[in-house]
Amino acid sequence: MRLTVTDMPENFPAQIANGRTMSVFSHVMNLTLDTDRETPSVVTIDARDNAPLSPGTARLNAPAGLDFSRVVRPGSGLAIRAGILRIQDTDLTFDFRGAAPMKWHDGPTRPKHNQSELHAGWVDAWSLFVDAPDPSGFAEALTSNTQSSGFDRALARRVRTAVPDLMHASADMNLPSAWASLHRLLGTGPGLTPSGDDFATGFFLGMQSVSPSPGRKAFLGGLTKATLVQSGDSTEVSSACLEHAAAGRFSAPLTCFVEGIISHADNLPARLADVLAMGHSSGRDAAFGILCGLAVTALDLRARVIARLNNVHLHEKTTQ
Amino acid sequence: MKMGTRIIADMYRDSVALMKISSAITGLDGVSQASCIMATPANLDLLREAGLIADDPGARPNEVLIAVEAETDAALSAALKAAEAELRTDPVVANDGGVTLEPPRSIEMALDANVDANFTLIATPGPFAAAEAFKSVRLGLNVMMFSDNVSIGDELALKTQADQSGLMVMGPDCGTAIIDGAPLGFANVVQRGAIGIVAASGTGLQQVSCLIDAAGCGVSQAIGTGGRDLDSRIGGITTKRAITSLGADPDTKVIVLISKPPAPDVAKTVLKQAVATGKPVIACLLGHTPEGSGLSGVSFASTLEEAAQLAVTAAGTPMSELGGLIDASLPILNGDRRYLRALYSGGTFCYEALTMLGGALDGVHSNTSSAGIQTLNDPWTSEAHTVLDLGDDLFTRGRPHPMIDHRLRNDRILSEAEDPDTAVILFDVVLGHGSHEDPGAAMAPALSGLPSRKNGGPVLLGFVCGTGGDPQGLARQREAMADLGVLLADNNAQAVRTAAAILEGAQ
Repeated sequence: MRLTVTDMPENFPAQIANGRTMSVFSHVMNLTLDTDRETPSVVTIDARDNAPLSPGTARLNAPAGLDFSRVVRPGSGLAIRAGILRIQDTDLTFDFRGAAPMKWHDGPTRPKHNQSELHAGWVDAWSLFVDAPDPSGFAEALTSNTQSSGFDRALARRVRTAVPDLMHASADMNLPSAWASLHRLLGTGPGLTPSGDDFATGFFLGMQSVSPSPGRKAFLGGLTKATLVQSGDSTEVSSACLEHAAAGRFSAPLTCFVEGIISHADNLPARLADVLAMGHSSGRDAAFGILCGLAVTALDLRARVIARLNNVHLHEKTTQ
Repeated sequence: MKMGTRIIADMYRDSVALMKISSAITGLDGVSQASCIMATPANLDLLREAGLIADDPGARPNEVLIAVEAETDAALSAALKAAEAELRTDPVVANDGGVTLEPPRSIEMALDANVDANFTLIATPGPFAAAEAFKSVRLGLNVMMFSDNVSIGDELALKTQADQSGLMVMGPDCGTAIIDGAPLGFANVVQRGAIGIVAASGTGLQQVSCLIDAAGCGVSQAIGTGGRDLDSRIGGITTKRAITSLGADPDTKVIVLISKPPAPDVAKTVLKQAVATGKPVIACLLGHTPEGSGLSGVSFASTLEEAAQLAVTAAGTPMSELGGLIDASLPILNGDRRYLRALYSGGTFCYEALTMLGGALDGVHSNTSSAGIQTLNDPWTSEAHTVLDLGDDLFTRGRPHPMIDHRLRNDRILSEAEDPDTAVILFDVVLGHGSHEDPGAAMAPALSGLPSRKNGGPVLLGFVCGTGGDPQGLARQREAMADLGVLLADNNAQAVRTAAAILEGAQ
C-alpha cells in the first residue's frame, strides 16, 4: 500500500537515502536516515488525522485503521529512491513526490504582546495546566505522590531544585548558572524524548516569546548553543528535536499555545489540550517549559511556579 | 538487597511503554524497585541517586536500561528476564494493520516488495527498453539492458544520466554479467575469486570466465557494458565506471578488459584509468593493435584464451601453456572439400575467429565486418570460407537466439554439409544460465544425420563454452558432442587454429 505524503521536512533527502526505523507507534514513526553518515538525520512520519505542523516531521494521508506498530518493526532497514520511501519487510511505502517542503519562519508568528494580557493569559494557562488530570513527566513534581518509584522521586527532586534555579538565573541573565541548572534537566525522564528535553524546548519557546531585548536574545542564544553541544547525551530523536528548537522551529500546537497565552485567547483550554495530546508526557513537559520560559521576566509569575514546587516538596517531606 | 541491570541495544520505547514495564516488574514477588529508562547520562545519574545502580552500567542514550533491586538473586534474575521479554515482544502481528497487499506490476511496485534492490534487468523488446531504463535510473537503480535495438542517442542520454547519479547502465545488448556471484543473462556458473572482468562482449566474457574457472581461479565481478560503450559517441561511460568500481573493490586483484576494437581515443582513456587503479590489467581488445610497445602496466592479449591465461597468471595461479591445437591427430579431408564454414551462436567468437583467420586463410567471408574480411552477398548462402554470427539481428528476427533455439543452426549445418566444398564445419556450444537446457540433444538431430568423414562427410569441429557448475553439465555436453563425431577443442581460439591447420594440411 502506498501512502501519499503531503508535506515533508525542508531538507528531506527525497532522492536517494538509506536508514532504518527507530521507534514505531500506532500513527507515528521515527526514522533515522543516512546511517552511513557521521550524523544521521531523524525524520518523523506522522499519520494522525490533522497532525500538527512539526519540525522534522512528514505528514500524510493515511487510511482509517492504519497502525504502523502492527506492520513495521523498529530497526527495519529503509531506502528512499526517487521520492519513494520503502521499509524492509512491509508492504507499506511512502510517496514523497508531491510533498511540499515545510517552510519555517525565524520564529513563530505572534502579535506584539500586551503585558497585562500576557499576565492574565499566563495565570489562566497555569491554572489549567496544574489542574490537568493524570500528571506525568516533570508535572509529577508539581503534585504530591509518595507512591512513585525511586527513579520518579529522584526526578521530581531534581525538577524541584533545578527549575527554580534555572528561572532565577535566566531572570538575572546569568548564563553559567542557567546552563548548569538546565544541564541537570536535559536527558532526564524515562522515554524516547526525555522530559527534560521537552521541557527545554518549551522553555526556549517561552523565553524567546518575551525576550525582545538584545541582551535577552544573546542570553537565550548562549543557552541554546550550550544545549546543542550537549545534545548528543540524549536519544537521537530527542537530539533532533532540540536542534530544531534551538533553531527556532517549534511544533504548531506549541506556538499556538504561546500565542493563546500572550493574547489571553478565549480558547486557551483547547490550545492547551492540543499540547497535552502530544506524546505521552512530551506535550505536558513542553507546556511546563513554556510557562516557565514566559514567567522568567515576570517576578510574580516566576514566584507562582517556584512556590508550587516548594510547597509540594514541603508537603511530601512532612507526610513521609 | 541484590541489584542488577540489563541493556537492550537499538530499542526505542516511549515513556508509557517503559513506565508500564517498570510498574509491572516492580509488582513481581521479591522486587523492591525497578526502572526501565532510555539510558541518557542524566537518567543514569537519577538511577544512581535512587540507589538502583552503583556503577556506570556502560549503556548509551539510544539503549534501554533495565535496573532492578530485588531481595534474592532468583527474584532479580526473573525480573530482568521478564522485563527484557516484555520489551522484546514483537508488536508486528498477523493482523494486516490496515495495509492491503497488491501483486507487483511495475518496477516501482517490485521495489516496494524488495526495499534494498539496487538493480534492474531489462529484457523488454527494444522499443520499450529505453523508457524502462530511464525509469529505473530515476528510481536510483543500476541497470542491465539485455534488450537490443536501443538508439545510440538513448544510450548516451541514459548512461550520462546514470553516471551523474552514481549509477551504472550495463548495455544495451548486454547479454552477460556476473554481479556479486549472481549470473545474469547468458552467464556461466563460475567460482568466485580475484579476477574482475569488464566486457563489451557477451560470449567474450563467458569464454574468459569459463577458462578462468577451468584453471582453478575465480571471478569477483563480471560487468557487461554493451557493444557500443567504447564507441567514440558513448566514450566508455560504463567501462570507466566499472573500472572505478573494480579498482575500489578489495576482492578484485586483477582487471580484465574485453572488447571488439574500441575507438582509439576511448581505448587510451579507458586503459589509462585501468592502470591508475594500480592493479594488473589485461586488455583483450580483439582486432586492436596497441600503439608502439603498448601501455606500461597493461598486458595485451590477442585472443580470449590468452586473456584468461594472463589473468590467471597475474592472480598467482600457474596455468598450463595454451596456444596449441586439439589433442588428437588432425583428420584428412575428403575429396575436394576445401572450405571452412564456421557457424557461431556467439558474436564475439565469430569476431575472434575473423581476427585470427584474416591473415591465415584467403577469401574469408562473413556477415560481420572485420579488417581483411569480405562481406557475404547473401548471408543465407556461404561463399568460400564463411564465418557466420548467427546471433546477428538478421538471423534472430522473429525467432529466439541460437544459444536458446538450435533449429536455425541445425538447418544451416545440414545445408553446409550438403555443399561438396565444405571441409570443416566449426561451431560453438554455449552453456550456462539462459542457454538451451541440453544443447547436445538439441543438435543431435542435425549432427547425427550427417555423413561421417569415413563416408566422405565434412569434419565437425566444435568447443563447449561452459563450466562444471553449469546446469547443462560441461562433461555431459562434451561427451554428447564426441559421441556425435565432433572433434572437440578446449576453446574458440584453439578450435580456429585447428580448423586452419586442417585446411592448411589439405593444401
